[in-house]
Amino acid sequence: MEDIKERRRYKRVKGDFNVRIKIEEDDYLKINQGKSINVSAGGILVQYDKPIELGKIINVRFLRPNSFEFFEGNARIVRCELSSDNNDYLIGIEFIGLSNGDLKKLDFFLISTSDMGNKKIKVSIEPTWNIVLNINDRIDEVLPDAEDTVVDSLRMVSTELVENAVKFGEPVVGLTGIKYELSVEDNKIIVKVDNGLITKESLMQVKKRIDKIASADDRFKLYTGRLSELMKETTLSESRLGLYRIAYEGKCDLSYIYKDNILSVMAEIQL
Amino acid sequence: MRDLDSGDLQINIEEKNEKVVMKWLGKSRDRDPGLLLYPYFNDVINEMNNKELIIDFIKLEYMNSSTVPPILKLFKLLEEHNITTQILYDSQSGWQCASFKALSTIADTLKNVNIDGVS
Repeated sequence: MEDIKERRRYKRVKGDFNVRIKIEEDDYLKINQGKSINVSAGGILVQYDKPIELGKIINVRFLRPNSFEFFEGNARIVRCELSSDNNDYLIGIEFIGLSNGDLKKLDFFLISTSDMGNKKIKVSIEPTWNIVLNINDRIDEVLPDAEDTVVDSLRMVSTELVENAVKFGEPVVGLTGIKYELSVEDNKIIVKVDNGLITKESLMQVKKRIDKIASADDRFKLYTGRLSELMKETTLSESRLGLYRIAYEGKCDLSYIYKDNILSVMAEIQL
Repeated sequence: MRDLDSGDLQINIEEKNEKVVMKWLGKSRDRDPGLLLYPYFNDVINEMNNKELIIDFIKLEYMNSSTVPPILKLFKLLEEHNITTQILYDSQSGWQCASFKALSTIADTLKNVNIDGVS
Protein backbone atom coordinates (compact mmCIF):
# COMPACT_ATOMS: atom_id res chain seq x y z
CA MET A 1 0.00 0.00 0.00
CA GLU A 2 2.82 2.32 0.96
CA ASP A 3 4.54 1.50 -2.35
CA ILE A 4 1.44 2.50 -4.31
CA LYS A 5 1.20 5.77 -2.37
CA GLU A 6 4.85 6.41 -2.94
CA ARG A 7 4.61 5.71 -6.66
CA ARG A 8 1.59 7.99 -6.98
CA ARG A 9 3.40 10.73 -5.17
CA TYR A 10 6.53 10.44 -7.25
CA LYS A 11 4.57 10.23 -10.49
CA ARG A 12 3.83 13.94 -10.17
CA VAL A 13 7.45 14.83 -9.72
CA LYS A 14 9.76 15.39 -12.66
CA GLY A 15 13.29 14.11 -12.73
CA ASP A 16 13.88 11.04 -10.58
CA PHE A 17 17.58 10.46 -10.69
CA ASN A 18 20.61 9.71 -8.62
CA VAL A 19 22.33 12.62 -7.00
CA ARG A 20 25.67 12.33 -5.38
CA ILE A 21 26.23 14.87 -2.65
CA LYS A 22 29.76 15.48 -1.53
CA ILE A 23 29.65 17.13 1.87
CA GLU A 24 33.26 16.75 2.88
CA GLU A 25 36.29 15.15 1.28
CA ASP A 26 35.81 11.43 0.94
CA ASP A 27 32.31 11.61 2.37
CA TYR A 28 29.87 10.75 -0.41
CA LEU A 29 26.18 10.37 0.28
CA LYS A 30 24.03 8.77 -2.36
CA ILE A 31 20.38 9.55 -2.97
CA ASN A 32 18.75 6.41 -4.29
CA GLN A 33 16.71 6.52 -7.45
CA GLY A 34 13.00 6.48 -6.73
CA LYS A 35 13.20 9.11 -4.04
CA SER A 36 11.45 12.35 -4.82
CA ILE A 37 13.94 14.60 -6.57
CA ASN A 38 13.30 17.82 -8.44
CA VAL A 39 15.63 20.01 -10.35
CA SER A 40 15.46 23.53 -11.71
CA ALA A 41 18.00 26.14 -12.67
CA GLY A 42 17.75 27.35 -9.08
CA GLY A 43 18.41 24.12 -7.26
CA ILE A 44 17.26 20.66 -6.31
CA LEU A 45 14.81 19.34 -3.76
CA VAL A 46 15.71 15.88 -2.53
CA GLN A 47 14.38 13.49 0.05
CA TYR A 48 17.14 12.07 2.15
CA ASP A 49 17.29 10.01 5.29
CA LYS A 50 19.64 12.31 7.24
CA PRO A 51 19.51 16.03 8.03
CA ILE A 52 22.16 18.32 6.54
CA GLU A 53 23.18 21.55 8.24
CA LEU A 54 21.62 24.74 6.79
CA GLY A 55 24.04 26.99 4.96
CA LYS A 56 26.53 24.22 4.36
CA ILE A 57 28.34 24.45 1.04
CA ILE A 58 28.41 21.13 -0.74
CA ASN A 59 29.32 19.66 -4.09
CA VAL A 60 26.57 17.99 -6.12
CA ARG A 61 26.70 15.82 -9.20
CA PHE A 62 23.87 14.38 -11.25
CA LEU A 63 22.85 13.46 -14.76
CA ARG A 64 21.04 16.36 -16.42
CA PRO A 65 17.37 15.75 -17.23
CA ASN A 66 16.82 14.43 -20.78
CA SER A 67 20.49 14.23 -21.55
CA PHE A 68 23.56 12.13 -20.99
CA GLU A 69 25.60 14.99 -19.61
CA PHE A 70 26.59 15.25 -16.00
CA PHE A 71 26.10 18.43 -14.06
CA GLU A 72 28.56 19.07 -11.29
CA GLY A 73 28.77 22.19 -9.18
CA ASN A 74 28.78 23.79 -5.78
CA ALA A 75 25.57 24.35 -3.90
CA ARG A 76 24.26 25.55 -0.57
CA ILE A 77 21.79 23.84 1.77
CA VAL A 78 18.87 26.27 2.07
CA ARG A 79 16.24 24.02 3.57
CA CYS A 80 16.22 20.97 5.79
CA GLU A 81 13.07 19.71 7.40
CA LEU A 82 11.44 16.48 8.41
CA SER A 83 9.07 15.27 5.70
CA SER A 84 5.39 14.86 6.46
CA ASP A 85 5.74 11.10 7.01
CA ASN A 86 8.62 11.67 9.47
CA ASN A 87 10.69 9.03 7.68
CA ASP A 88 13.20 11.28 5.99
CA TYR A 89 14.19 14.89 5.35
CA LEU A 90 13.36 17.35 2.60
CA ILE A 91 16.64 18.93 1.63
CA GLY A 92 16.60 22.10 -0.48
CA ILE A 93 19.84 22.66 -2.35
CA GLU A 94 20.54 25.97 -4.12
CA PHE A 95 23.14 26.03 -6.88
CA ILE A 96 25.82 28.67 -6.62
CA GLY A 97 28.23 29.98 -9.20
CA LEU A 98 26.57 28.42 -12.23
CA SER A 99 27.67 29.60 -15.66
CA ASN A 100 25.06 31.08 -18.02
CA GLY A 101 25.37 27.96 -20.14
CA ASP A 102 24.56 25.71 -17.20
CA LEU A 103 21.63 27.93 -16.19
CA LYS A 104 20.15 27.75 -19.68
CA LYS A 105 20.47 24.00 -19.80
CA LEU A 106 18.83 23.59 -16.42
CA ASP A 107 16.06 26.08 -17.07
CA PHE A 108 12.94 24.29 -18.22
CA PHE A 109 9.16 24.18 -18.00
CA LEU A 110 7.48 21.34 -16.14
CA ILE A 111 4.11 21.57 -17.79
CA SER A 112 2.76 24.11 -20.21
CA THR A 113 -0.73 23.95 -21.57
CA SER A 114 -2.79 26.53 -23.32
CA ASP A 115 -6.52 26.21 -23.79
CA MET A 116 -7.39 28.84 -26.35
CA GLY A 117 -11.04 27.80 -26.79
CA ASN A 118 -11.85 28.42 -23.16
CA LYS A 119 -9.66 31.51 -22.95
CA LYS A 120 -7.40 30.09 -20.28
CA ILE A 121 -3.72 29.83 -19.68
CA LYS A 122 -2.43 27.25 -17.23
CA VAL A 123 1.27 26.98 -16.66
CA SER A 124 3.23 25.11 -14.03
CA ILE A 125 6.58 26.77 -13.79
CA GLU A 126 9.91 25.92 -12.37
CA PRO A 127 10.76 29.13 -10.54
CA THR A 128 13.38 30.71 -12.74
CA TRP A 129 13.41 34.31 -13.83
CA ASN A 130 13.28 33.65 -17.58
CA ILE A 131 9.81 32.20 -17.19
CA VAL A 132 8.51 35.51 -15.85
CA LEU A 133 9.46 37.06 -19.16
CA ASN A 134 7.46 34.56 -21.23
CA ILE A 135 4.09 35.11 -19.57
CA ASN A 136 3.45 38.36 -21.44
CA ASP A 137 3.62 36.78 -24.87
CA ARG A 138 1.03 34.18 -23.95
CA ILE A 139 -1.48 36.81 -22.82
CA ASP A 140 -1.49 38.15 -26.38
CA GLU A 141 -2.26 34.64 -27.67
CA VAL A 142 -5.30 34.17 -25.43
CA LEU A 143 -6.72 37.70 -25.65
CA PRO A 144 -5.95 38.88 -29.19
CA ASP A 145 -8.95 41.24 -29.29
CA ALA A 146 -8.69 42.78 -25.85
CA GLU A 147 -8.20 46.53 -25.44
CA ASP A 148 -4.59 47.65 -25.02
CA THR A 149 -5.30 48.99 -21.53
CA VAL A 150 -6.63 45.60 -20.41
CA VAL A 151 -3.69 43.74 -21.95
CA ASP A 152 -1.22 46.18 -20.36
CA SER A 153 -2.88 45.70 -16.97
CA LEU A 154 -2.84 41.93 -17.33
CA ARG A 155 0.82 41.92 -18.27
CA MET A 156 1.71 44.03 -15.28
CA VAL A 157 -0.49 42.03 -12.90
CA SER A 158 0.79 38.68 -14.18
CA THR A 159 4.39 39.75 -14.12
CA GLU A 160 4.22 41.19 -10.60
CA LEU A 161 2.45 38.13 -9.18
CA VAL A 162 4.81 35.66 -10.85
CA GLU A 163 7.83 37.74 -9.81
CA ASN A 164 6.65 37.59 -6.19
CA ALA A 165 6.17 33.84 -6.48
CA VAL A 166 9.66 33.40 -7.90
CA LYS A 167 11.21 35.62 -5.23
CA PHE A 168 9.41 34.32 -2.17
CA GLY A 169 8.09 30.88 -3.17
CA GLU A 170 9.55 27.74 -1.67
CA PRO A 171 9.23 24.15 -2.87
CA VAL A 172 6.77 22.17 -0.76
CA VAL A 173 5.26 18.73 -0.99
CA GLY A 174 2.52 19.04 -3.60
CA LEU A 175 3.99 22.07 -5.35
CA THR A 176 7.66 22.41 -6.12
CA GLY A 177 7.26 25.16 -8.72
CA ILE A 178 4.69 27.85 -9.47
CA LYS A 179 1.22 27.55 -10.97
CA TYR A 180 -0.10 30.41 -13.09
CA GLU A 181 -3.69 30.53 -14.27
CA LEU A 182 -5.52 33.19 -16.25
CA SER A 183 -9.22 32.73 -16.83
CA VAL A 184 -11.75 34.94 -18.57
CA GLU A 185 -15.32 34.97 -17.33
CA ASP A 186 -18.30 37.07 -18.45
CA ASN A 187 -17.19 40.43 -17.14
CA LYS A 188 -13.92 39.75 -15.41
CA ILE A 189 -10.48 38.26 -15.80
CA ILE A 190 -8.89 36.37 -12.93
CA VAL A 191 -5.15 35.83 -12.61
CA LYS A 192 -4.21 33.22 -10.01
CA VAL A 193 -0.67 32.32 -9.00
CA ASP A 194 0.14 29.50 -6.57
CA ASN A 195 3.45 28.86 -4.87
CA GLY A 196 4.73 26.95 -1.89
CA LEU A 197 5.43 29.07 1.18
CA ILE A 198 6.76 28.02 4.54
CA THR A 199 8.50 31.17 5.78
CA LYS A 200 6.01 32.80 8.12
CA GLU A 201 7.40 36.31 7.60
CA SER A 202 6.81 36.16 3.85
CA LEU A 203 3.26 34.91 4.40
CA MET A 204 2.57 37.68 6.92
CA GLN A 205 3.87 40.30 4.46
CA VAL A 206 1.45 39.09 1.78
CA LYS A 207 -1.50 38.91 4.17
CA LYS A 208 -0.71 42.34 5.60
CA ARG A 209 -0.56 43.96 2.18
CA ILE A 210 -3.69 42.32 0.78
CA ASP A 211 -5.64 43.16 3.94
CA LYS A 212 -4.43 46.76 3.75
CA ILE A 213 -5.52 46.99 0.12
CA ALA A 214 -8.93 45.53 0.93
CA SER A 215 -9.54 48.12 3.65
CA ALA A 216 -7.93 51.11 1.87
CA ASP A 217 -10.14 54.01 0.81
CA ASP A 218 -7.42 55.35 -1.47
CA ARG A 219 -5.12 52.87 -3.23
CA PHE A 220 -3.06 55.66 -4.77
CA LYS A 221 -2.15 56.85 -1.27
CA LEU A 222 -1.24 53.31 -0.28
CA TYR A 223 1.14 53.04 -3.23
CA THR A 224 2.71 56.47 -2.82
CA GLY A 225 3.00 55.83 0.93
CA ARG A 226 5.21 52.84 0.15
CA LEU A 227 7.23 55.02 -2.27
CA SER A 228 7.82 57.49 0.59
CA GLU A 229 8.97 54.65 2.85
CA LEU A 230 11.39 53.45 0.20
CA MET A 231 12.69 56.99 -0.27
CA LYS A 232 13.51 57.19 3.43
CA GLU A 233 15.21 53.80 3.63
CA THR A 234 18.95 54.07 3.91
CA THR A 235 19.67 50.44 3.05
CA LEU A 236 18.66 48.70 -0.14
CA SER A 237 15.72 46.39 0.28
CA GLU A 238 12.99 44.61 -1.65
CA SER A 239 10.52 47.10 -3.14
CA ARG A 240 7.45 45.23 -1.81
CA LEU A 241 5.46 47.42 -4.20
CA GLY A 242 4.06 44.74 -6.47
CA LEU A 243 0.73 44.08 -4.72
CA TYR A 244 0.05 47.78 -4.18
CA ARG A 245 0.85 48.42 -7.82
CA ILE A 246 -1.58 45.68 -8.90
CA ALA A 247 -4.31 47.28 -6.79
CA TYR A 248 -3.61 50.89 -7.77
CA GLU A 249 -2.34 50.75 -11.33
CA GLY A 250 -4.12 47.53 -12.38
CA LYS A 251 -7.32 48.47 -10.52
CA CYS A 252 -7.57 44.88 -9.32
CA ASP A 253 -9.17 43.34 -6.28
CA LEU A 254 -6.79 40.96 -4.55
CA SER A 255 -7.46 37.94 -2.39
CA TYR A 256 -5.48 34.97 -1.12
CA ILE A 257 -5.89 31.43 0.15
CA TYR A 258 -3.25 29.66 2.26
CA LYS A 259 -3.66 25.94 2.67
CA ASP A 260 -1.21 23.03 3.10
CA ASN A 261 1.77 25.38 2.77
CA ILE A 262 0.53 26.61 -0.62
CA LEU A 263 -0.24 30.29 -1.11
CA SER A 264 -2.67 31.24 -3.88
CA VAL A 265 -2.97 34.92 -4.75
CA MET A 266 -5.85 35.98 -6.99
CA ALA A 267 -6.17 39.28 -8.84
CA GLU A 268 -9.51 40.13 -10.41
CA ILE A 269 -9.86 42.67 -13.21
CA GLN A 270 -13.35 43.88 -14.02
CA LEU A 271 -14.01 44.31 -17.75
CA MET B 1 29.55 59.01 -20.49
CA ARG B 2 28.70 55.44 -21.33
CA ASP B 3 25.42 53.86 -22.43
CA LEU B 4 23.91 50.88 -20.66
CA ASP B 5 22.77 47.77 -22.51
CA SER B 6 21.41 44.95 -20.40
CA GLY B 7 19.56 43.10 -23.16
CA ASP B 8 15.93 44.05 -22.57
CA LEU B 9 16.81 47.49 -21.30
CA GLN B 10 19.00 50.08 -22.99
CA ILE B 11 19.87 53.48 -21.62
CA ASN B 12 21.42 55.83 -24.11
CA ILE B 13 23.23 59.01 -23.19
CA GLU B 14 23.33 62.05 -25.45
CA GLU B 15 25.20 65.19 -24.50
CA LYS B 16 23.80 68.41 -25.98
CA ASN B 17 25.46 71.69 -25.02
CA GLU B 18 24.85 72.09 -21.32
CA LYS B 19 22.36 69.23 -21.10
CA VAL B 20 22.67 65.49 -20.81
CA VAL B 21 19.78 63.38 -22.13
CA MET B 22 19.38 59.89 -20.66
CA LYS B 23 16.95 57.87 -22.84
CA TRP B 24 15.42 54.66 -21.51
CA LEU B 25 14.42 52.12 -24.17
CA GLY B 26 12.93 48.62 -24.06
CA LYS B 27 11.81 46.87 -20.89
CA SER B 28 13.20 46.96 -17.38
CA ARG B 29 12.22 43.61 -15.92
CA ASP B 30 15.29 42.13 -14.30
CA ARG B 31 14.86 40.40 -10.97
CA ASP B 32 17.21 42.91 -9.38
CA PRO B 33 17.71 45.84 -11.75
CA GLY B 34 19.58 47.74 -9.05
CA LEU B 35 22.61 45.50 -9.54
CA LEU B 36 23.23 47.20 -12.88
CA LEU B 37 21.53 50.53 -12.32
CA TYR B 38 23.08 51.65 -9.02
CA PRO B 39 26.70 51.65 -10.26
CA TYR B 40 25.59 53.06 -13.61
CA PHE B 41 23.76 55.99 -11.98
CA ASN B 42 26.77 56.71 -9.80
CA ASP B 43 29.01 56.88 -12.87
CA VAL B 44 26.62 59.21 -14.70
CA ILE B 45 26.21 61.50 -11.70
CA ASN B 46 29.96 61.74 -11.21
CA GLU B 47 30.42 62.90 -14.81
CA MET B 48 27.62 65.47 -14.92
CA ASN B 49 29.89 68.50 -14.38
CA ASN B 50 27.09 70.90 -13.46
CA LYS B 51 25.07 70.08 -16.58
CA GLU B 52 21.30 69.69 -16.52
CA LEU B 53 19.86 66.23 -16.90
CA ILE B 54 16.83 65.14 -18.91
CA ILE B 55 15.65 61.59 -18.24
CA ASP B 56 13.43 60.44 -21.10
CA PHE B 57 11.20 57.45 -20.29
CA ILE B 58 8.85 58.06 -23.25
CA LYS B 59 10.02 55.02 -25.24
CA LEU B 60 10.27 52.72 -22.23
CA GLU B 61 7.84 49.86 -22.87
CA TYR B 62 7.61 48.40 -19.37
CA MET B 63 9.21 48.49 -15.97
CA ASN B 64 8.58 46.14 -13.08
CA SER B 65 8.16 47.33 -9.53
CA SER B 66 11.73 46.24 -8.74
CA THR B 67 12.89 49.10 -10.98
CA VAL B 68 11.23 51.70 -8.75
CA PRO B 69 13.75 51.60 -5.85
CA PRO B 70 16.69 52.30 -8.22
CA ILE B 71 14.74 55.25 -9.70
CA LEU B 72 14.10 56.60 -6.20
CA LYS B 73 17.78 56.14 -5.42
CA LEU B 74 18.56 58.17 -8.55
CA PHE B 75 16.23 60.92 -7.29
CA LYS B 76 18.20 61.00 -4.04
CA LEU B 77 21.53 61.19 -5.86
CA LEU B 78 20.30 64.01 -8.09
CA GLU B 79 19.11 65.94 -5.06
CA GLU B 80 22.34 65.38 -3.14
CA HIS B 81 24.44 66.53 -6.11
CA ASN B 82 22.18 69.47 -6.86
CA ILE B 83 21.58 68.41 -10.46
CA THR B 84 18.62 70.08 -12.11
CA THR B 85 16.62 67.28 -13.70
CA GLN B 86 13.55 67.02 -15.89
CA ILE B 87 11.90 63.62 -16.19
CA LEU B 88 9.71 63.00 -19.25
CA TYR B 89 7.10 60.28 -19.70
CA ASP B 90 4.46 59.44 -22.29
CA SER B 91 1.17 60.88 -21.09
CA GLN B 92 -0.70 58.71 -23.64
CA SER B 93 0.56 55.52 -22.04
CA GLY B 94 -1.66 54.22 -19.25
CA TRP B 95 1.05 52.46 -17.27
CA GLN B 96 3.48 55.37 -17.63
CA CYS B 97 0.84 57.84 -16.44
CA ALA B 98 0.05 55.71 -13.40
CA SER B 99 3.70 55.07 -12.51
CA PHE B 100 4.94 58.62 -12.99
CA LYS B 101 1.92 60.25 -11.39
CA ALA B 102 2.85 58.30 -8.27
CA LEU B 103 6.55 59.16 -8.61
CA SER B 104 5.57 62.83 -8.99
CA THR B 105 4.40 62.83 -5.37
CA ILE B 106 8.00 62.10 -4.40
CA ALA B 107 9.53 64.51 -6.93
CA ASP B 108 7.26 67.27 -5.60
CA THR B 109 9.12 67.07 -2.30
CA LEU B 110 12.49 67.56 -4.03
CA LYS B 111 14.14 70.78 -5.12
CA ASN B 112 15.86 69.61 -8.29
CA VAL B 113 13.63 66.94 -9.85
CA ASN B 114 10.55 67.67 -11.97
CA ILE B 115 8.35 65.17 -13.78
CA ASP B 116 6.37 66.10 -16.91
CA GLY B 117 4.06 64.12 -19.16
CA VAL B 118 4.53 64.54 -22.91
CA SER B 119 1.79 63.73 -25.42
